[in-house]
Formats: sequence, structure tokens, C-alpha cells
Amino acid sequence: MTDLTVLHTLRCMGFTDLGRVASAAGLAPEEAESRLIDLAVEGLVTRVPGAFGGWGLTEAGKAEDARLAAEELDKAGARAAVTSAYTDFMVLNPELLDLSTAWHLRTVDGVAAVNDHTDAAYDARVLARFADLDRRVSPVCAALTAALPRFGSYRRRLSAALARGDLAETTESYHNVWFQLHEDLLVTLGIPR
Amino acid sequence: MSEIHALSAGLALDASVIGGKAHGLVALMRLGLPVPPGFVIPTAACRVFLETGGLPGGELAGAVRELEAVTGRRFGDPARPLLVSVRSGAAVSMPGMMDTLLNVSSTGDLRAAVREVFASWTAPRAVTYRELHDIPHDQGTAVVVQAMVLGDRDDHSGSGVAFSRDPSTGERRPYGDVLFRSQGDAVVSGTVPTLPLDALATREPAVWVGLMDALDRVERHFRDVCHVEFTVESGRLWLLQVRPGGLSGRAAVRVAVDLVDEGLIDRATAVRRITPGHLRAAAVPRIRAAAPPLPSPDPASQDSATWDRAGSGSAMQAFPGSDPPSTGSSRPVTEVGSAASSGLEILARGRGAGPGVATGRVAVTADGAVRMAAAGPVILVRPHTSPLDLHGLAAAAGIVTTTGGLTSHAAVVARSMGKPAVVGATGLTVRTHDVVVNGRSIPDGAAADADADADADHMATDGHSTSEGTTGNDQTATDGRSTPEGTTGNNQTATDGRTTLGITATDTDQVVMDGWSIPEGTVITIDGTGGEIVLGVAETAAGDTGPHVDRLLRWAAEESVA
Repeated sequence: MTDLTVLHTLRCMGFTDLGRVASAAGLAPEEAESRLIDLAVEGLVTRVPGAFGGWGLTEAGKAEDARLAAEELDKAGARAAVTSAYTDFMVLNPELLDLSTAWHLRTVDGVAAVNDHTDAAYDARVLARFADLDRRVSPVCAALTAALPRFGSYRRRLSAALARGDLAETTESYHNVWFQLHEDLLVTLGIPR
Repeated sequence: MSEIHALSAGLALDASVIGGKAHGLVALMRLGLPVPPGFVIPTAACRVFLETGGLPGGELAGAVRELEAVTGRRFGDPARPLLVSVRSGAAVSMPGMMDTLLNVSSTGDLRAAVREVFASWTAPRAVTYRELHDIPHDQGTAVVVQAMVLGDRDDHSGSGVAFSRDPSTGERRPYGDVLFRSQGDAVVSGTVPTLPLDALATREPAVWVGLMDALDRVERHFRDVCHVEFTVESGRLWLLQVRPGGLSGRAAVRVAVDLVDEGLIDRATAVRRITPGHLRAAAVPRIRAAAPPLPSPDPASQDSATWDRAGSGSAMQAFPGSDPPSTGSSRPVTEVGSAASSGLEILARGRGAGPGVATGRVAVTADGAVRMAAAGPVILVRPHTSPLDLHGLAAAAGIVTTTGGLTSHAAVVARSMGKPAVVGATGLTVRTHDVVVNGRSIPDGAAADADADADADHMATDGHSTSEGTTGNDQTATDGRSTPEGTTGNNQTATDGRTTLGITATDTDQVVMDGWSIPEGTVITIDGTGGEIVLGVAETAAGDTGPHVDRLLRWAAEESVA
């Protein structure tokens, strides 16, 4: 029995290290590693060694994940609900990208410049709009979680990133978690990027 | 209820009343330039709508009747139907934030369209934009309604954007993009390779002459560099928008200094136009010409560093008047010609998405980037990126995507990692084992198709010795000069890897026309400010401000003394 939790979590994160997969999947690292090794035996995931190494899916793993995710979606009778939530999500998506960009770049004296975060008022405005967007994405997250409980992890991770003020900095930033949710919706609904 | 005004040379109202777009159109009409007939619903009507939900009913019907009379067309007339465009136009430009509706064909549709544009003023994304750019929330937007002109009507039709000077360098030569048989909105996306503006000169010489005249007149009127949005319908030129200024960094400085030499502005005005931000931007390290020119106070001399812009890309992407406007594009043929004298081989331009210059070997997959990074710096070139590419982004010294804009995943992640990045380099196509520099005549959509297919290959393998390596698109290797990816990670000299392709239709993924193959492993340099992608190792100019900045600073010093 293939473990969809870890497989799908890794699919949406892309390529990452053990600690991050475990955290996103809500598992202890040892447990996550044990499941990853089982998946590797099945030929579904692979580990790249080295400084930039980590875990990722094989082509077979991607195909199997797509198949299992579709199966899970239809078994739960959740396709309509997830499709509707995806539509709502895509309305908000451009704004998230605007805000992530605004966090890194701003127009100063008519010229685009790197935001050096020395202007607290500007940063506060960006943060306020992030918080506003976060409020508006909440009903989307709630609808998704009601349709498929595994979507619940995104609400938790988005809130944690916002609370840290990690808008677009780290691999667990608001932007990256959002992007994984986007990827998850595409994979789950079988929509090519 | 506010008045609706026909667009005419005599309309003397401020941009705060009729919006920036209508204000510019009136200026064009005063200059005797061709503008499609239409009318403007002022910003005050938007404020009323947002408060009460009401539209200027009777007046709107009257304005439509007048437009029908002027055009000799009528809504719903099967023989001569009137079609209109409905565009937002606030006092301060908010590019891409509000709605535009095209081909509106009835009064009912028009009312719905106006309502939609007004309502888009309060869309959350527009609110966010105003918050971030210090634009007041209570102004509302005007709506410009104009008879449609069709850039996709026939072979003598097209759309484009034209700058009166090169927005990347400030050099005094027309610059822009054009796409034949296309409406403007089809090319704004930045995913369709466009033609350099001068393609108009050979294909529609009369239109070219008209456009050059128009650029000259708007420059003299605004006493500044301008860019216009235009459509050609069956060989007839129409201007849809004009916007002055908007350059940054060294390009802005050069224009200001040149305008003084041309007698269009005085020194004090030039000094006033250049902000500290422009001077800071002018000092960011940039790719520079291999052979530095002689230093000279002569205003005609070239800047030693050739590119000066923050945020570069297809000029089409600047279409709605993005601020700062974009430049550069997929025009390797002309660029290679002009760069030859300076020793640089510009493969393509995209938009600068993460400032800085990086040199490294091309990797076309995230896995390839990780593998090759062990031996030295790598530039990851992808159609676009996703979380699946994060390890490659982390391993790479610089990042290039062929699609996407400044807010794309690649752009955001590159900036968060502090890496130079160029996005939307539409002149390149990523294939299984190489990157192709597209020719000028690549068919619409071909690059996008190839991108999608190439992406499907991503992470498929460890990058070599698989069936992928033997597909038809690897035919570049047959002439013996191109090096397939994976056989060497140290393919040093870029020019060795350059191969001329014919038309290649493969059974697996792409159709590529007249491209050059840049195999994985080839050394390239990218400039994440100006968006240039250059073959080989390019020198950088750190804080090299050039003769124009020197002159401007001298004038500034004289001003403060005087």
C-alpha cells in the first residue's frame, strides 16, 4: 500500500530535505524517513546526495501520485468542491505574487530598487496587505479542508509563516507554502501547469 | 451626474478629471496624430457609481449615438457594426490592475463593461497596488470608450509598442516590438516572441514613416522620451496610448543630457528630472562592453556600459504603461549585429528580475544544475520554475526563465536567494539538452509549445544517457560541433557550441525555426538588472557611470553654486 501522505507532500514541495517533508506531512523525521525509504524501494522517490541534495519524486512517482490523488478525490466525492476552491484561489493568486514582489522590490524615486527593509512604514503596508490577503484565503482553505482533510496543513503552515514575518524568504515562507498549495491543487485536479 | 466627453483636440481637462489615458489621447489629437474616435467617462462618474451603483444613463446613450454618427457604424448593424473597446484610465497609471474589454457590440454590453471597469477600481488587487504605490483610494478611474481598430484584420495589420529612444540605453533611435496580424492584448502576455520594431520599415514602409513622425512629434511636445501603443489596421496607423518618461538609471540620465544638447530642455530641467534613485540605479554593476571606449565628454560618445535599465523585457510587456517601462526582447539577430563591435554576443534579453551579474555554465534542468554545480558556477535556464526546481535554484549562481514576469516563481525565489535572474527571455527555448536562440521568424506559439513539452521532461532522468538523448531534437549534434548535454560539463567556449539549425520538426516535442543551439555546459553571463543574456564571460562595470552622468553631475554642481 503506497503511502500517499508522504508521496503527495513531497510531490507538492518538489525537492526538499527530510526535515521539511516530515514537518509538512506532520510526521516525526524517523517515521517520514522510513516511509520515504519504502517509497524509494517502490521506485517512486529518489534521494540525490550532496550539498544541494534531497528527496524528490521519480517520473513513476509523479504518475503514481497523480493517479492516487485523483482516486482519493473521487472517492471522497470532492472534485466539485476542490474545483470551486481552485477557482477562488486563482483570483487571489496574482495578488500574492504582487505582494511577494513588493516585499523584495519597490519603486524609489521613480526607479525599481531592492527593498532593503529600512523603511518600516513601507514594510508595514506590505505586511498589512499580506494579512488582508491571508484573511481572504481562509475561506478557500476551509472549503478545501472540508473537502479533503489533508489540505488542512496549508492553513497551519501559512499562519506560521505569517506569524514569523517570513513572507518570501525561506523554503517555508508564505510565498513557498502558497506555491505548494497551488501545485497541490493543480496535481489533485490533474491540471497541467 | 458628470458629463461624458467626446475625445477631441479641443478637450481641455486635467488628467485628474478624464484620466491619464484620455489626457494622452487628447495630446495626440492636438498633434494631428491618428486616434480612433471615442469618448471618455470621467473619474467623477466612477465615484458616483461606487457610491450609488448608478451609471450616467442618458448621456451614455447620447455619446454612443454621436460615435455612431462619426464612424458611420451602428451597434448591431449587420452590414457596418460598431465595435468598441472599453478601457480603464485613472489619473495615475495602474498597469494591468483594472479591467479592459474589447469588441463590445451593443449598448447593453457597453453598460455592463463600464460597470465592470468601474468596479475593478475596488478589486482587492487594485487596492493593494494603490497601497504599495501611495495612490489615493478615493479618486476612481475614468473609462475610455473607442471604436475598435483591428490589428488582426489582415496581412497589413498588426500591433505594437514603440519607444522614441532605446529605453535600455537611452540611445536616440526608435525601439520596440511589433506583431503582425495580432491585437495588442495577444502580445502583452510576453510569452509570444515579437519582431523588432524595424520589421515595420520593410513590411509597411508608409506606416513606418508615419510612426517615426509621430514619435518625433510626441517627443517635441512632451520634451521627453515617449512610448506609444499602436495598432495598424489594413495599412493604416492608429495610436492608442502615449506615455512620456519612465526610463531609469543610466538610460534616463543619457536622455536628459541628450535632450539638453538637442535644445529641448535646459540644464536645470535635466538636473531636476534625475533623482538620486536614477543615480543609484546607474551605479549598479552591469555587463559592460569588452573593449571600453575612450572616455570623452563628447555627447555623441557611447556609454561604456551598454545597458542601463532596471527591469527589462519585451517592450510589449510595457504595453499598459508599466512603471518603469520594460525594454529588450527577443531580437537576437539585430542585437548580435550591434553587439559584435563591442565583443559581446547577446543571445537574448528578458526582464531583469534579480539584480546583479552572474557567469556560469548553462544547465537546463534543476538536477543538471545540482550535478554541474560541483564543478563550478551554473546558470539554470528553465521555461519557468516551480517548487520542483528549488534544489536547482539553490545550486545555481544565476537563473533564466523563458516565460513569466517579475512576479513569477523564479523571480521571487531568485530575489529571496539574492541571485541574479532574468525572466521572460522569450527569445530562448529550452529543450532537452540545450537552449535554442530563436530566430526572428519563429511562428506564434511555437516557443510556448516547446516550453511546455520541455518542462514535461524535467526531473525525468539524471540528465544523460537515456532515450531523451536520442530524440530528433538532438539533431544539432550531427554536424559535430554541438555538444550534447552530459558528455561534458566543461564545454568552455561558447562560440564553439553555436550551431545553425534549419527548420526542425521533431516527432517528440518542438518545432524550431532558424535557431542557434546553446548546449548545456556553455558559458553564459546574465545581467539581472537589464535582462541581458550574453554568450561567454562578460566583464562587469561596477559603478561605472559614464560620460552622461559626469556631465549631469557637473551641471548639478553648477546649479547649486549659481
